[in-house]
Amino acid sequence: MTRYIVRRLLFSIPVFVALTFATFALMRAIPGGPFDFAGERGLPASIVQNMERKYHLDEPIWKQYGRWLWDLVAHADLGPSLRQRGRSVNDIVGESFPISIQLGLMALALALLIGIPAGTLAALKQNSIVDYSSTFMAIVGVSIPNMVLGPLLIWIFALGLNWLPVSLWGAERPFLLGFLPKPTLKFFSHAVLPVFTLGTGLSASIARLTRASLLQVIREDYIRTARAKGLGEWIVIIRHALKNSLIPVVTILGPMFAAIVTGTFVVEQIFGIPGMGKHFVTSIGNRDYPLIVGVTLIYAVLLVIANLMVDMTYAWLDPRVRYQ
Amino acid sequence: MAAGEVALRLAIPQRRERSPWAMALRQLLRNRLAVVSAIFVTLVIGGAIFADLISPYDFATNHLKDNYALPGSTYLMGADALGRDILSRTIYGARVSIAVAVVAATVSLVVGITYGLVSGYFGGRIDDIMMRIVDFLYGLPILIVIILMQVYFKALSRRGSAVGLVGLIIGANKAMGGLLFIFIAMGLLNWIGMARITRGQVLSYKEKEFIEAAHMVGANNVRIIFRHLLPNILGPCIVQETLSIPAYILTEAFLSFIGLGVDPPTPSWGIMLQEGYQALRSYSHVLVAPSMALTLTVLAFNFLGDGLRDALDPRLYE
Repeated sequence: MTRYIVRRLLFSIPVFVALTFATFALMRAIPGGPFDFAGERGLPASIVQNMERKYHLDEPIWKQYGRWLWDLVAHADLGPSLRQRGRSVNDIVGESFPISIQLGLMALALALLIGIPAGTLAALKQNSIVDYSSTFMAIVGVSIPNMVLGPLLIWIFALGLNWLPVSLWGAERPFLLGFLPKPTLKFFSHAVLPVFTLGTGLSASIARLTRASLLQVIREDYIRTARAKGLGEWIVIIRHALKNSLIPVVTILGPMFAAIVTGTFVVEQIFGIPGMGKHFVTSIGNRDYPLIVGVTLIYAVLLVIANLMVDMTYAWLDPRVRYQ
Repeated sequence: MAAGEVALRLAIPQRRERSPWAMALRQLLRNRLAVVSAIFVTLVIGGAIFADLISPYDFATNHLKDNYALPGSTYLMGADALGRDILSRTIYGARVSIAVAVVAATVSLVVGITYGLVSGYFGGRIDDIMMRIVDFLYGLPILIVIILMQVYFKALSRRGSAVGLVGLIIGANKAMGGLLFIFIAMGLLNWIGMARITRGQVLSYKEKEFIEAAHMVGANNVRIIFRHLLPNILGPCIVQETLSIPAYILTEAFLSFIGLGVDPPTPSWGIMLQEGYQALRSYSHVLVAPSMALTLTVLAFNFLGDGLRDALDPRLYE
C-alpha cells in the first residue's frame, strides 16, 4: 500500500512539472505584463525595464522556470507577488487558502450528511412517495447552479428575513492546526449561506448515486445471506449494504473536489469571502505571474491528492481491491 | 390448401415487430417529465434560433433613461443597469448556451468515439500508447486548463493585430462574440471521458460472435467498425453525452460569470447573473429571467438525459 502511494505521488510529479511549465510559458506568451497597470497612469519605460530586471523577467523562460522551480524545491518559496507590493505568494496563499478550505470542507460535510441519508432512505422505500420526492429534489438540487442559488439565498434569508449576514466571512485568527477556526456564533452565522450554496448541488448528486448503488447492492446474495443468518435489519443495511454501495459514491468525490474548487470561485465572489479563488481570477487579469503559477500548482496538488485518497478509500471499502 | 392455413394464421395474434429504437421511443414517451423536458428544450432551441424574430428589443441597445426599469408593459422582465431589455437578452442568451451544448457535445462524441474505437479495436501497442495519453490528460485539472486557455485566448484577441491563420481565427471569434474560443477550450479536453467509455464498450463487443462472423465472411476493418461495432455502442454513448450537456452549459455560465466567457455585449446567462447579483439589494428583479432560464434549461436536460437512459436500458422494462 505504502509503495503504491509513493509510486502514485512520484508519477504525479511530471503532471505538476508539465502543468506549471505550461502555465509559466502560456502566461508570458500573453500580451501585456505585470507593470502595465492597464487603465492607470503608466510607468516610464526605464522604470519598467528596471523592475523587469529585478524580477528576472528579461531572462529566457526556461531560466525563469528553473529559478522558480529551484526556489520552490529548495526553500519552499513560491516567489514574490509582482502586483501586491512587498508580499510573497506564500503570504497570500497562507492567508486565503485556509478560508477556502473551511468553506470547501464544510460544504463537503453538509453534502455527505444530507446526501447519504437521503439516498439511503429513497432506496429502502423504493417507489414510495419518499423515494419519488427525494429523487425529484435531487435532480432539482443538481440543476440549480451556485450562481443562482447564492443570490436567491441572500435575497430570502439575509435581505428579506434578515436572519443571516449578507456577506463576508466570520472566522477569527489564529486558526487551530492552520485552518480550524474558533466555533463562534459569528463564524457559523456567516458560514450558513455560502456552505448551503456550495453544498446543495453536491448533496443532490451524492443522494442520487447512493440510491442507485444501494438498490443494486440490496439485491445481492450476500445481503440475503446476512439476513438469513438472523442479523438485525439495521446491521444488514449499514454494515453490509451501505458500506459496499458507497464505492461508486467515493468515485465521484474526486470530480466533486473539482466542483468544490469551481464552486468556491463563484461562492467567494458572490459572498465576498476572502479566499483563494478570488486571487486566482484577479491574478490572471493582473499578469501577476508567480501568483498565477503558485495558485495553479496548489489546485493541481489538491486535485491529485484528492484522487489518490479516493483510490485508497476504495481499498478500505472493498476488500477485493488491492493495490501493489 | 388455403382455408385451414389462413384460419391458423389468423388465430395466432400477430406480434408487431418493433425495432429497439421504436421501443425506446415508446418508453421515453411514457415518461411524462422527460416529455415535458423535451418540449421545453425544443422551445429553448427554437428561441435560440429565432431570437431575431421573437425578442422585442435588440440585446445591446441601451435605453439609459430606463435603467433598472421594473417589469411592466414596456419591458416584460425589466431592464438592466444600462437599460437593456432583460427578456431580449435572456432569449439571445439561449443562443450561447445551446451553441455551447451542441458544439461541445458533438466534438466530444466525434473525437471521443473515434479515439475509443481505434484504441479498443486495434488493441496492443496502439491501445497502450493511446490510453497512456488519455491517462496523462486525465491527470490534468481540466477546469484550470480551460481557464488558462481562455485567459490566453482573450489576451490574444484583445491585441487583435495578428495576421494569417491566427488573425482569421481571432476575427471569427470576434464575429461570434467570443464563442469560438470557448468551443476550442472546452472541446480540447472534454472527449477524454467519452473515449474511455467507447473503448470499454468496444472491448466487450469485440470478442462477440457476430464480430467473429463478420471477420469470417471477409469484412474489412472499416466495415466492421462502422457497420457492426458503431451501431451497438452509439446508444450508450449518446445517453452519456446527453447527461453531460448540463455540465457544458454550466461551465460556459461559470466562465462568463468570472469574466472569462463571451465578450460583452453578447448576452450570456452567466454574464447577466454576474451583473445582476451586484444589484441584488436594490434591483433583485434583474436576476429573475436569467436565473430561471439557466436553472430550467439545465433541469430539462437532466430530466431528458435520465429519461433517455431509462428508455435505452432494456433491462428496465419488459
